[in-house]
Amino acid sequence: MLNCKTLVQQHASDYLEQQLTFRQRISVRAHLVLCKNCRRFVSQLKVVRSVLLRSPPPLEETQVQSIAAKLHSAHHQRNKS
Amino acid sequence: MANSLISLISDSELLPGLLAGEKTAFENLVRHYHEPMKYVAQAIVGEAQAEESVQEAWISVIRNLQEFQGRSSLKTWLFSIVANEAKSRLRKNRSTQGKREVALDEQPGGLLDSGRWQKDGHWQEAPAAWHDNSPEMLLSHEDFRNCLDKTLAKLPPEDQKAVLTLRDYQGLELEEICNILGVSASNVRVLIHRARLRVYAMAEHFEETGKC
Repeated sequence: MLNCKTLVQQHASDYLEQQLTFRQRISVRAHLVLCKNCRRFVSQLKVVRSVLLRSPPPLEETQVQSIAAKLHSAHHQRNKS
Repeated sequence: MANSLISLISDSELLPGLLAGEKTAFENLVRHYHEPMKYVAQAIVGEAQAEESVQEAWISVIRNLQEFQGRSSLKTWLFSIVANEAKSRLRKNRSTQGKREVALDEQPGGLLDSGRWQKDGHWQEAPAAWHDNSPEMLLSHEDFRNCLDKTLAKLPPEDQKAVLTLRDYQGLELEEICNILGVSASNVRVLIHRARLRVYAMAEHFEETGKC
């Protein structure tokens, strides 16, 4: 039977993204019915996933302006020629 | 200042402004895609040459923008361009090109730590319930957002940062990520999960201590 370590380390993300085989999915669901700790873990992993959906990697605004100015200028040059 | 909470932007919001040569459209393009493009380049060619690959990619983007047909999304197009630039640079660096290997046996931490588990695979140290049990609550803490930025910046190996960015933030399909990075679907899935486990471990620690 599937244990907590395997569920956490190998299957949890695939479970959330419905990437498991039918047998694996049944096995994970059966485990989650019985295991409060893993239910809590999967629930909190969902929160982490949602946090990441909303949190792009940062870029300093000064860099944004600098790179964008170069692209903008290159675009104008190209359209002129 | 880091832009931890900029939202996703649609092609229909960006493209008309880009094609019309509007400055703010270019700023939005860079704000949303420069760093993710760099992570893609890092995953392929390494950190030292990633920035140069992105610069080359931007030149290519400007050169081909008018011909962008919309057959794929704008972001998939951008990531494919930077991946091609990085792969091209990699080919120049290598006399023989082997299949890229993804390091899957990295140093464990957090939930991969053996101290967390009993010999029979049960929890040794069970996960504590978080006070902040929604993304909104977690992200409402400035300290948490700073910890998140630090964790994302330190994700090893570079592949983890790239797949996490492409999958969770950019919302690309697994198949698209495989094509862009040139790694197998199973490797992509392992990398995504390990990256999430690292962020989970940081969030867990933050919930317990208020620190990263």
